[in-house]
Formats: sequence, C-alpha cells, structure tokens
Amino acid sequence: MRYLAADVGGTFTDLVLLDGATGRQYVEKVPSGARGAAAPIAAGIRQIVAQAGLTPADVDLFVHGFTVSTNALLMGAGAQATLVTSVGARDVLEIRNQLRPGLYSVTTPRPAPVIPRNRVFEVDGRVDAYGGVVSEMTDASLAATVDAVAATEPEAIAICLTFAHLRPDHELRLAAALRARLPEVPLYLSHKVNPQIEEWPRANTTAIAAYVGPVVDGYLTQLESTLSEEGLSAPLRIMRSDGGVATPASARDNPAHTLLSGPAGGVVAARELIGSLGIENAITFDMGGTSADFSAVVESDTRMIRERTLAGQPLRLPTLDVETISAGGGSIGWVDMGGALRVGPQSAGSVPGPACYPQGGDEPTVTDAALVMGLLHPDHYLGGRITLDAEAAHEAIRSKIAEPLGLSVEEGALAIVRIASASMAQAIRTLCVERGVDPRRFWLVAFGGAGPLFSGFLAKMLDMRGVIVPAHPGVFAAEGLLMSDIRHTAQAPCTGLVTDESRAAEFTSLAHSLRQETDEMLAEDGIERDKRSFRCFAGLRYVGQFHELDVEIAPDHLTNWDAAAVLAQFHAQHAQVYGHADPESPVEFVSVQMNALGGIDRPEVGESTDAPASDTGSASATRQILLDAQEGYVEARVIDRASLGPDDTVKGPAIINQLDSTVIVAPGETATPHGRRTIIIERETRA
Amino acid sequence: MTAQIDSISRDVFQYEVVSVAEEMSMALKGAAFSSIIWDMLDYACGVLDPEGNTIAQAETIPAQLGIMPTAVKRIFEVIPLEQWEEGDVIICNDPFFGCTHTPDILLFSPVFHEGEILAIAATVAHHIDVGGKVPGTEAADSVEVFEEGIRIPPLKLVERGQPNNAIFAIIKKNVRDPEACAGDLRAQIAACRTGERRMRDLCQRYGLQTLRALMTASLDYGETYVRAALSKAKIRESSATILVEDDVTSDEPMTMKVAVRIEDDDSLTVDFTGTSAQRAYGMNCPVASTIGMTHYAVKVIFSPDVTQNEGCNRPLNIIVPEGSFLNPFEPAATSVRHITQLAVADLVLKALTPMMPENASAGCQTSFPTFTAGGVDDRPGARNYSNQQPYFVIADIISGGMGGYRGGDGLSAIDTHGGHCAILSAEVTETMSPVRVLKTELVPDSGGAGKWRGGLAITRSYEVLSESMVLSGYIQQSRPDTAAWGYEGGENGKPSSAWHLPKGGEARKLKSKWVALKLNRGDVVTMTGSGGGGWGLPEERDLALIARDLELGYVSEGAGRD
Repeated sequence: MRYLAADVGGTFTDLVLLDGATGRQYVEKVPSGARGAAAPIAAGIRQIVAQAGLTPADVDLFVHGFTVSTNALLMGAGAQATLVTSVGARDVLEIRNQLRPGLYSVTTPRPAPVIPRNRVFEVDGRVDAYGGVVSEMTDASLAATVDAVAATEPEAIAICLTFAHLRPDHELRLAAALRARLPEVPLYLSHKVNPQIEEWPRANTTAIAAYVGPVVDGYLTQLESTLSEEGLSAPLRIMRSDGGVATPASARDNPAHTLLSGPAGGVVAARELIGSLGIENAITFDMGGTSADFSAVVESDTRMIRERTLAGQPLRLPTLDVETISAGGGSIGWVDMGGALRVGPQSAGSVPGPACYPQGGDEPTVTDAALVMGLLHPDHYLGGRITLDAEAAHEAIRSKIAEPLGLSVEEGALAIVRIASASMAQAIRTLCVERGVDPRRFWLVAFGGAGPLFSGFLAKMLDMRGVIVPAHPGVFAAEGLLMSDIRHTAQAPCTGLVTDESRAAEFTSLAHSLRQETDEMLAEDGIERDKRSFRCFAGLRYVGQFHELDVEIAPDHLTNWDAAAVLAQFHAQHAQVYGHADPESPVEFVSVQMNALGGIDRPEVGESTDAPASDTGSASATRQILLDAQEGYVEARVIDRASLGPDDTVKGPAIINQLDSTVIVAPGETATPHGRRTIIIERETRA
Repeated sequence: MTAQIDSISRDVFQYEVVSVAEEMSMALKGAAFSSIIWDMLDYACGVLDPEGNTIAQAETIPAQLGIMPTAVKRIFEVIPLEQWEEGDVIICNDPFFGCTHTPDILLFSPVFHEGEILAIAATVAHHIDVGGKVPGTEAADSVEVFEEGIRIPPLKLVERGQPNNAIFAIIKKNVRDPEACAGDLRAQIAACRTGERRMRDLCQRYGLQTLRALMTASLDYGETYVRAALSKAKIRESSATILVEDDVTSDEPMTMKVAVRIEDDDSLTVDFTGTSAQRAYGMNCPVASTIGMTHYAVKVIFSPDVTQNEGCNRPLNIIVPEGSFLNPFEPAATSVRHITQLAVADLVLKALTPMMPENASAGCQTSFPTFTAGGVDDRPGARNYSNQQPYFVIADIISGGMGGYRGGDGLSAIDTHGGHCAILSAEVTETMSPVRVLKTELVPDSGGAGKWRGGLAITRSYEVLSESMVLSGYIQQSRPDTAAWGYEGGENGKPSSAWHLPKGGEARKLKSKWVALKLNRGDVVTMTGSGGGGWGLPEERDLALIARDLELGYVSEGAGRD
C-alpha cells in the first residue's frame, strides 16, 4: 500500500508519501503557485514519486487538503448564488444576530452577506413550531419565485425556509420546481445542509455552501483530470473540517465541510502521535507566518464544536475545536501611545515579509526578533531557500522598538517574543479553561515552521509538562491527512422526555435510520462492512434550558434503552461543563446525531523511516542565543537533527536544526528523541 | 518599598491579569442559570486593587463597564477594607449606594496573601427578576425605587467562607424565580473564587511587592495612554444637547446636556450641568451608570483598542448635578435606566465627535425597542410534560442603524452602545412562546442621507397565537426632534415606531412607553427601530454607492435627494 497526501498552504504545498512495502516515508514541499490551480500539485506528485523511485500509478490512495473554498470565502470570490427564504425572512443574512463587530468601536465594518440582497427572494407557505402546515405554498408564489430566481442566472441556489428542519416538504417542492427549470444549477437545501433550529445560522451555512459549491466543484473537476493525465488513478479523498475525509462526491454534496479543513490535519496527526507515545493530553500549537492555531486533545480524543466563524461568517457544522489567533512569524511589533509594546494583529505576511527578508519590509516582526536572538541562522532559513539579512532585522528593531522604549536592540527583540508569547499563552489558557482542563497537565505539540521555535516560551509561561516536536514539523499537517478516516455525520431533531418510553423509542428509531443512511454512504465510498463504525450522540437538555449537550449513547443502549444510564451521563457531563447539575430536573431530547467512520488501512511507518534531512551546512557548532532577560546570551550547542541517535539526550541550551524547522532547547530543559524520531523536551524546573 | 518595573514586564502582566478576569467570566457564565447571562451576556467580571481601582475587566457588555469601582468605593464607607476577611463575599445592589438599577447585583471578595489584601475580585450580573411590581422588575412607570424589588445594602453574603443563609433566605423570598436567582448568585461567587485563586497564583509567581508594582504600573500606563490621546484632540471645548422622550409623567421630553473641555492639555472635564431634574418614573439613571457610559464614550473616541483599567479614567473629571435624572435623589425609580444610559453614551459621543472625528460616527439608534410579553401558552403543542399549558415570558430587542462615519456607511441592524444583545431567532420565538414572527426586515430609507449614509433600522411583526397576553415595552427616538442626529451636513435617521393592529380592527400607533397592554389572538404588533444619522453632505455621496443602494434596495427609487 502506498499512500500519498498533499496539503495546500498559502505559500507551499506539502506532500507526504508513505510506502507500506518499505515502511519508508518521503516528504516534499513545492510552491503553491496561483490560487486554486491544480498544476503545482502535479509537479509535487511527480517529484515525490520520483524521490521514492515509483510512478504515480503506484499510488493506492491520494488524500488532499485544499484551501480553494476557504480562499473563495476570504477573498469574496465565491459563486453568484441566489437564496430563497420564507415570506418575511429575506433579510436574514443582512440582520444576522444584530451584534456589532467591535464593542468599543463605531467605525468597524461588518462582513457583507455572501448572497447580496437583490439575489434573495421569498416564497409563501408556512410551517409552525411543531412541524404543522400553517399555510400551503401556492402555485402562483412558487411560479413567481422560480421566475425571479431564474432571472438572476444563478451559479448555485440556496433554499432556507422557516422550520424546514422540522418539515422539509416546502423546501423539497421548491427544489423540484427549480430543478425542472434550471437542471444544471446545484441546489443546497437547509434541511439537508444543517437541519437545526435558528434561521440565521442555518440560512448562512446553506448560503455559504452555495457560495463555495461551484468553486469546489470546478477545482475538483480540474484536479481529477490533472491526476488522470499524470496517471494517478488511486481513489481521491478530501480533508474535512471535522478531521475526517470525504469522497469527491460527498465533498460536492456539502462543500461547506471543507472550509475549515486547513488546521484539521495537524490536530489529527497530533492525536495519533501522542497516542503512539502513550500520552493522553496535549495542546497542539501550529505557528506559521501569519497565524497560530491551537487545539486540545483530551484523553486521547480530539474535540468538536458545533459552530465556528470564518471571515466573520458563522458556519454551523461540526468542526474540530481549533482556536486561531493572528500571531505568526510575520506579526509586526509596534509601540502604542501609552508606551506599551504590541505585537500584531498587523502582519508583514510573505510580501513584503519581515525586515530580514530579501526585499523585506521595514517593520520589525517576530521573525526579525528570532534572528536577533540567535534562534535562526541567516543562511539556513527554510532550508536555505531564503538568506536573511540580520542587519535589516537589527535596524528595524532598533528604530521602531528599542529606541522608543529605551532598550538595547537585543532587549527589544526579546520583548517582541515575550509579548507574542504572552498573547499566545492567553489563547491557550482561554482554550483550556473554556473546556474545563488545566494546561499544567498537558504537553504542547509544536509544529508548523515557527512552532518549535517558540513552544518553549509558551510551555514555561503556562507551566506545561513539556514540548513534543514531531519528526517533520513543517509537513506535519500533511501527515495528518493520511491518518484520517472517512467520516459522515447526519442528524435529526427529536423531542420529548428521556424518561418517556415512547419518546425513547422514537429516538432509537431515528438513530437506527440515521445509522442506515450513513452506512449506505460508507458503502458508496467503498468501505468494507467490518471497517465501518458508528458513534451516536443525543442532544439533551434540562427542560426550560435552551443550550443542549451532546451525550454519547453506547451502542447497546440503542438496542436496549437505559434511561437511567443516559441521564446519569448527562448530569455528570453537565456538572463538568457548567459546574452544576440538577439530577431532580427532567431532561428532554433535542436531537440525534450519528457520526459514521470508515476505517482506512494505513501502512505502518517503521523505525527505518529516513531521519529528517538537515541543512546545518557550515554552521558553527555553537551559537549565542538569548532566551531570558536575566540570563542574557548563552552559548547553545547546534545539533544536526540527522545526527541525533535514538539514545542521544540533549541538555539545553541547544539548537536542533533540520530542513523544515528549528527546535530550541532552553537551559534547564532536556530533549530526548523517541520512536519515529519525535523529540520530547522535558522541563526540569516545573513549579 | 516599590519594586522597579520594566515596561515589557508590565505589558506581559496585562495579558495575564486580563486572562484572570476572562477566567472569572467563563466561570460565571459556565455556572449561571439564566439566559440573560448565557445569551445576553449581561454581566461583567473584574480584578480591582485594594483601593477599588479596576486593573482588568473581561469584556462582555459595555453597559457594565466601570460600574464596579464606583460601587466598591461606597461600600468601603460601610464596611472598611480592614473588616474584609479571607473567604468573605460582599453583596450590594443599591442604586443609591454606588450600584446601578436593582436587578444588577454586585459581589466583591478580597484576595489575601499572607494576611494582606492584594486585590479584590468583583462581579456584577443582571438578575432576570429581583421582585417588584412586574415580572422582570423593570417598569417604565415605577414612581419610586420601592416598586423595583429588593434593595440590598452592603452586607457579607459569605462570611469567612460560610454563606449567610439569612440573607439568601430573604432574597429568595422576595424574587419571582428564587432558584435561578440563588443559582446565579452562586455562579457569581464561583467567579470570585476563581479570581482569588488565579490572583494568588500570580502573587506566588511574582511576590507581593512586584505584583503591587505591576498593578500600579498598569494603571499608570492606562492614564498615560488616555492623556496622550486627549492631547491630540482637535478642539478643546465642545458641548451637546439631546432630547429624551418621557411619555410617562409628561409628553414633554427631557433635556440632557453636556459640556466637554480639555484642561491642562491632557485632562477632560465632562459636565452634565443643565440636564433636566429627575422625574417620577423608572427612566432615571443611577449615577454609577451615568459615569459608566461616560467611560464608554470616552473609550470609543480616545482609546478603543487599549486594555481598559481605572487609570484610563484618571484624566476624567465627571460632573453630574445631584437631583438631575442622571444622578437622582433617593427614592427615585431607576429600573429602565438602560434606555437613558444609551442616551448618555449618545450625548457624550456627540460632544466628543469633533475632538477626534476619525473614531466617531453620526448618531446611532438609542431607541432600544423592547417587546416583553407574558401569559399562558395555550397552543395544544405547548402542553408541558405535566400536561399543563405553561406560563411564558418573552423579551426581544429590536435593533437599529448606527451612524455613518468618515469612510463608511453606518452598520444596519445593530444593538448599540451599552447593549450587546442578540435578536431572538423567529424559530426560537415561536418555539418558546405563542408568538409568530411574521417578518423581520430592513427598513429601506431609514438611514439618514449623507456622504456616508446612516445604517438601516429593522422592523419586526409579532402575531399573537394564544388567547391573550400582556405586553409591555418602550421605544425612544420616535419623533423627528429625538431621531439619531446627522453630522457635518448628514441628515437625521428616521424615527422608530410601535403599532398595534387588533384582529379585524384598525392599526393604532403606540406611545413611546406602554405598560400591560392586553393583546388577543390574531393581534399583530409591529416594532421598528430608528435609523442611524448620516455623515457629511448627501450631495457629496459617491455615485457608485448611490447605485449600489438602489440595486440592493437599501434606498428606494424616488426616495431622498431631488
């Protein structure tokens, strides 16, 4: 079995090839090139299979993470979509939840709806809060709406009618009429995309699916033909925001599932990595040029949330729980009116880039600070692709930070890193506290180009267990693609008391039909019966409460309902999440959700995997680095990661160099290589 | 002895101490019982120094900004800091003792380190009901505070870790939903304990002297920042007047007046002299709220993106005449002060706008149309698990337009200034109550014309599905002379309105305040917010923007300019 993954990023596309026959792993990085083009992937595939001495035809599975949908949303470059709502609801995307973007600002704009007001139409017919029909959809209104929609020449159509999640008849009737008139145009129905109460998030999620749908479809079509030209005929799988993968057909059905897939690969990879080390709890830390992503792996499981926001647009789909803040290597340091040092949110990006970049800007960034502190070597950045200008970094920090604050340039550099770390530490603390976990029990898994450079600062500030650096921090997210299983989710509303036997019977019957539905999806994906697994969740709440909790229902409780066990679990979970529980209060059903997983066999990566390539070149064996104001510069050993044997323990201060990353080991820390050449950095001076 | 603090350590500390306040906030929200905390976020948490200055506050709802220092400084008059002991939690909600309206209950607890108080953890939360003459406590036509529920003087709710059950019992006996009230109080206590624990952690790390020096340095930074911003003001003096609708004691609106002056280059005096005397209704504004919303307005104009602490307020001198409706004498009623405090924010912003126009906008909605109804839900499907038709209460808030600003049109459909409350989803409204939302729409042409147009209001219609219900509500800015103001030649926004259409009858316009209006099945109530004011001359508006407004229907054909 030979599995290939390609993860598209803003600047580079990372590829990983696992060869099950030899147990070897290959990595490649190619420029991503023009936005949304499949050609660079072809180049990357040719290079990586050549590296492995194979041809594209030898690949058995190709997993792909892409950003075309995300970019379309961020850049406002989605399809010309049209929306139909019930009468009186046409402004649902404009009014949102009536909250403003800045609490203390009267001049901050709000993102425009993805479907403008002149492309939104209403149709009559009304369903009530219990799923009953208040008034039927009239033929006249239906015909007028279809005409109006057709006149906008839509590339995609979203339909969101009031209470359609309870009774989809009207949405289905409208869809049939539109399909008859506009057979080529894809339709997205709210009761399919997001069958949940509250019209704005449901309409917005459906509208976004329509907005990015044609873009995703066009890209997949182009990619499929490129792959076939290259002779790669292996099944294609697409990364989803929830950490699973989808077939191209299922990605086309609900393209909104791809929107937050970017950070998902790294989180899945981290879960697998700590599992292999026998560690249960970790925070993932993926830092790149413009942003940093954090997620918690708790008791060996990734965590999901029901809704995330992208480009100011809420997207209500199950998504891996990832916090993103705008802190990256390109974040700019500046001094405010009150004499405080701030870092970000402005970023120098990759153009013009940090001051130390060739043709870089003149603003001092986090990367400039790392260079002045000796953490980076000017000749060995990004594997020597870029030569950094230490003079320019020095000058930017001197003029913009050090002089205004009365500091030396070195102190100014350290100050930038301290402030950036403080804001990242605050993000981790928020993530942990909101989820009821204590960061001091957690390890930090650091990856992305800049993660292992700054992880030590964060671990120290938060008094965490230590830092785990994977073998290839720069392509770790791409590795995660190969560890993801096929995933489908389906849900349905359900009502009634948990203790009411007839309602419980309704719940289990809904669960069985959702299981059947998702089972068929897995069968269509070609997943063998014994590789299919299912997890059922009940959305439950106390009567009178509005917020619900997802409680997992054990498989045998679905066939043999045990209300007492389900309730006990709900109360316990409520106490954990909200700090209190009320076992006397009645509990009711809100929804049933089925998560279906299709297991993908993956090749074992043995110890024979190539050691990460290094490029220390002629770098001297020691370097002066600055990590702490009191200690000042200390002499750090510079170690080539390739030369690190399995039993070599490295005591800080040290720098471990490799092609795609630099790992810092601070004084008082010890780095030890582990299986698959992971590095574990333990902190000796934990409080 | 004071430790020397470098500026970077201070900046790092500010992240850490804000993080303490945010952790308190999550603890409170996590343990709270009521949707007013969960969904409307009507609460705040902060860390204060032992003198009662806010060092950091979690940002939830601006209405609660800066309430805590005013209150704790009055509490010291009754319970001096020397009498605060480890494990104590002190409670107060008296509008005439530094607090705001009675539903906002404040709790404070000392943080001890080796016998010394190093900080105070503080929380304020809006309780959905604290008794009084109507469910939800708030009534525009209350005459005295005695109609507004239980009033709690400064007391130790928890004494050295032991809850004072007598106080809990008295409170529970005087509120409509005792379990929710006690549950929310316990959530506030949990937040205080979180703050204590995290501040002790910080103290352990830094040591008491350094921690104190860091707090002092943070306050000094806030002051330095705001003074630097004030010294950049474009003009030194300005004033503003607005009218606020009454319609309870009189059809004559009240006058709200302010003069703002930069003094000594970097101080700001905000003087409300000339504001009307208090009236016998619930719209009087406790002075703590007047001060809080003044802090809000100054922050919007001079320091929108700085971590707020009490140092930011040191350059301010706020003068609020006693006996005015912004600083009323006891026993004035104050329960619907929210609409008045929105007007305070609007007034101070209006006066400050010429000082730093780049951070300002024209007038925003302060109307705050509110639909509060209750009764029996007699729909067959609404029967509860005991097979009874349940009692329901629903409260919805309708948004309006923000003012245009230099470089952009005002945002449409926003709950402005002190508020930050989401509109109820139409589907949730009909699920929880016998009320069907017939439409929720932008109001074309409601934004004041201008080079930068005012944002649009929304209008929402509610149909009554039960045999009857009782509706209370209020609006502001329902007349041309109270509408959101235009700036530099921009036009005013369109006024708000409220209409009642009885089934089979004629629609009638409601006054700006109404209490206990009886509605019957099939009646329709339509509430409309006010549009934002325009900024700059309409004739200078970009033709492309005019075309876009017409295309999207934000402005109708034939409306506006000739």
